[in-house]
Amino acid sequence: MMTSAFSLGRIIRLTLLSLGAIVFLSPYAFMISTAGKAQSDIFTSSLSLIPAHLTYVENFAKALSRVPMARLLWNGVVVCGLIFFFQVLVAIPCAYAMAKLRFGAARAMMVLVMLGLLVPIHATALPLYVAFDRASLLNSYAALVAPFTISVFAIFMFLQFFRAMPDDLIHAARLDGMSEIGIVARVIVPNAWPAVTAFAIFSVVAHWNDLYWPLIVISKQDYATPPLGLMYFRAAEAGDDYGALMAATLMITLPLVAAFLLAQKRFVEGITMTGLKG
Amino acid sequence: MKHITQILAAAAVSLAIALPAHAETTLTVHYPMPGFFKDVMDTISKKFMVENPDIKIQFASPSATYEEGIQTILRQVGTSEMPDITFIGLNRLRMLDERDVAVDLGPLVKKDGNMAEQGFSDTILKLAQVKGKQVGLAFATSNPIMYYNADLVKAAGGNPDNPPKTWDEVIALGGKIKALGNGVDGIDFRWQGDDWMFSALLFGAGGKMLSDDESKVAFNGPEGQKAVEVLHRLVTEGGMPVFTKPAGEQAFAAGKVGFEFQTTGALRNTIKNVGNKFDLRTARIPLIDSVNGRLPTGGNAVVILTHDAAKQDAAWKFAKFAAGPYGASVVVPGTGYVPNNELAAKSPEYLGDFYKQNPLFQAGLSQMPVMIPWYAFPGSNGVKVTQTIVDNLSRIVDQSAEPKEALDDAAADVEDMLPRS
Repeated sequence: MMTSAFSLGRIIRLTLLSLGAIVFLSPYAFMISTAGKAQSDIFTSSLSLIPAHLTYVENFAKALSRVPMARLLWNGVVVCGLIFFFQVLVAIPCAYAMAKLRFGAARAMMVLVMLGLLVPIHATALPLYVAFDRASLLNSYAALVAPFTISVFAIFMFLQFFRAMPDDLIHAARLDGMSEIGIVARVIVPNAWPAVTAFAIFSVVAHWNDLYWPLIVISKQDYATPPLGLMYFRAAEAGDDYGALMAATLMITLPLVAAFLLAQKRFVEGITMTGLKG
Repeated sequence: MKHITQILAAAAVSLAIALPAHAETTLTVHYPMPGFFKDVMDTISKKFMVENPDIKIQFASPSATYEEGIQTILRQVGTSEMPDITFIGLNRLRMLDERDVAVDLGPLVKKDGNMAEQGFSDTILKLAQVKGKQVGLAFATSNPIMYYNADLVKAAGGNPDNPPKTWDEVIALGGKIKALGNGVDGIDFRWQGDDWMFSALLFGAGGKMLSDDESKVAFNGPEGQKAVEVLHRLVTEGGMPVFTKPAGEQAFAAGKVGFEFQTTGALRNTIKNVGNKFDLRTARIPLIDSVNGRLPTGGNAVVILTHDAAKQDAAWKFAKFAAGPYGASVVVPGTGYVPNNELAAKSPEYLGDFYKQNPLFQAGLSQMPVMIPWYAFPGSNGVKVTQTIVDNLSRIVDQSAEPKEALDDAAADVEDMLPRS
């Protein structure tokens, strides 16, 4: 009896999950729908998902002509790529040392990492801004990347992951005469891929979508990141040009959606293995 | 005749020789609300660069609102990021002046001599003055108008060709539209966000925000009481619900609201949002005192920030060009703002014909003679004062306080926030 593919529990579970999926996907569905509506079709007395007149072409053309989309996306890739590269470069050796090596400052460092998790970028924005101005580094990739190169969140996440790694693996490597750098590069990193992928999603999503910091340090379009580009569709009086705005947003979120779908399996692996659940 | 051609030829030759020697000046321009102004700025700067080949215009990342704009500028003062020119909301010029950020344009106006001939009358210059100091040149100016849905007005028994002229008539018709049912509301009055639309009622009754010496609150006088009484009756009799600003605009564009009171600057976007859904019309906003009533001027002014002498000359040229007749002829059709230049409004070369063909734009134009500056409160509490007034207006709209009580509370709180002298 209980072998049927749709037992009661399974049906309830699937219904709940589907409802959740609908709730979370509906804003995206509305964005896709609005991107295809003419401006006069957006605010109507009835709710319709299917645009009355398909104006995808016009809205996308407007979005592309209003902002240098290729430039924005390229800047987003460069900035997110550099941030992620440096974060991993710093965090892996650091987390390895704190997880597997015994030294006096380890406890103090742990406290510092926890403290670092508590300080948001907004608290340090002003001194950083003044420092970048004095160093004549405003309006540069350096200003966008440098404040984020050390991620305490990454250190914390890798730390949890490395702690679960068997010590025997590292002892064996030491017995074979490997240096500490060799251990990190040839034993730890290859085993840490799930954690790195999981962290990549967190890091790239956060920095791809970040408006706060680029808004402060960037005033030239040459270095504008994708969210800064969306500012060009904003108008305070009588509303924004929603059709073009949604078309542009669609183009800007698409790379993230694609990246997530590609890395989905590893992402879930990484989350479950590092114990960062919930 | 021959002389003139000779002089012209000589001038052309000397120009051709002199030009390469001239170092190119680059001006960085910052502006708010790109949804409105991006196309306008692109058009104006392109034309300007054609006429002034030795000056190059580049744009800084724009800010979404006037408030974000002034925050950006105040942060960038003294850094290499500071633009040479910016556009600041008319009610925030005082803030720039009190912090001594803007270049005083007075000497430049005097040196120029013939500002009136270029369409900058004294009234127009005054819009961007703070205590007699020329802080900027008004670039885009607006006043509040009445938008209405002619289909709903007709359905409620009104005559859309003869729209209401007093608040009593508006409120009566609004009530009838609300009574049509089917989720339709009578009126949307944009009281949220800032004190601009409250000023429209207060100035419309002939009132003032503060006493002449700016030491005492004056908005709770008899004029102010009439103003909040109208707001109260819009809710109780005119069928105005408690809307947020975007909700009100969207409901009106969806054809679910009879009257909407807000800036004429929103006209172009409203026309686009409405499309063919209903017959959109505009008219003058009623004044409580039809003789002494005035209306606040919204919009922004071009302000020069650079202290570099060579750049200042170029910046002054650009400021005059943007705020001049050509600039106005680009801004007005693109947004719904009213011309801030007298040449532009009258001359068919610029906008004379536009107004004949676009009657919706005439409401704002016809109110130009009663425009007075948007009042900016003195001292460092300007933003807080505005918020206090808005908070108390919201108590009237959601009917948690009697109009007089809310007005007196606002007056008492604002009194405490004025600078002590």
